[in-house]
Amino acid sequence: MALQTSGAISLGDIHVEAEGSPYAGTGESSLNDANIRGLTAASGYTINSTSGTQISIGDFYGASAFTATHTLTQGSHTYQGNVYNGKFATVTGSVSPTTYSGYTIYTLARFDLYSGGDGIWFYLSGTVAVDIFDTLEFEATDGTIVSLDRSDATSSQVGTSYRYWTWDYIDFDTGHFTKMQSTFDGSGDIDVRIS
Amino acid sequence: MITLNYTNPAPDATHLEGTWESASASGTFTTPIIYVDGVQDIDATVEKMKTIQQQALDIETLIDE
Repeated sequence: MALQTSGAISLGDIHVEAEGSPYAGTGESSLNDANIRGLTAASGYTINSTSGTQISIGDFYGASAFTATHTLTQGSHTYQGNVYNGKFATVTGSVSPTTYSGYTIYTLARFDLYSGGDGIWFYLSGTVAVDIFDTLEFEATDGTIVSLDRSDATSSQVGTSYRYWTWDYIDFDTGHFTKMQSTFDGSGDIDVRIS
Repeated sequence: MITLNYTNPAPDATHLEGTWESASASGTFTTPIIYVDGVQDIDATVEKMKTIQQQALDIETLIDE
């Protein structure tokens, strides 16, 4: 759970978010600890990950310990003028691990099909329950955690081949759609959490 | 072709459910219902689903490439 977004905040609160548990024994922490510097800043805040650089307690408002379950190594593909960035079936890109809950991740990508058709598509192979996950999150290039609720997605089970879920601009929090666009740019890795 | 699982969804329904069929494939779907001023807009929801499914078929073309 993310840290509070206002009011009093202590180093102990930050420690618990970073460690997942309160202090134990003679435990102590500092604002230079790697796991504290590694917390994901909330939108509008910056946590410099380099030890010894300037930082304040207030930078941690809304910060969270984002633990990726998958790493998406982007590929890019163009078909009939449309751009596809991410892992797309076997054509381009990859994801590690390759499965979620026992199902092969067939595709996790941004498809910029045509005007109004830009969005995220997530496919699992086989016959898959629509509610097999609740949230798909990824870390944008600026550190923002972009969260997509499964209940906001349109989903279809296509025969016995696969199920897809897709989100378009209306399903993103304010400002997050452009972060998705700049993150799914066809190169580099993206940390993803499916839960 | 889109076929809904019912004539009308429940007044407080959040999702529209049904089946779709094309020349090459078929499937089931669920999609959030579009509300306009608190009123379900089923026509707009079905149109959106048709667009998404056409996109999925376009993607399938790429998969088969």
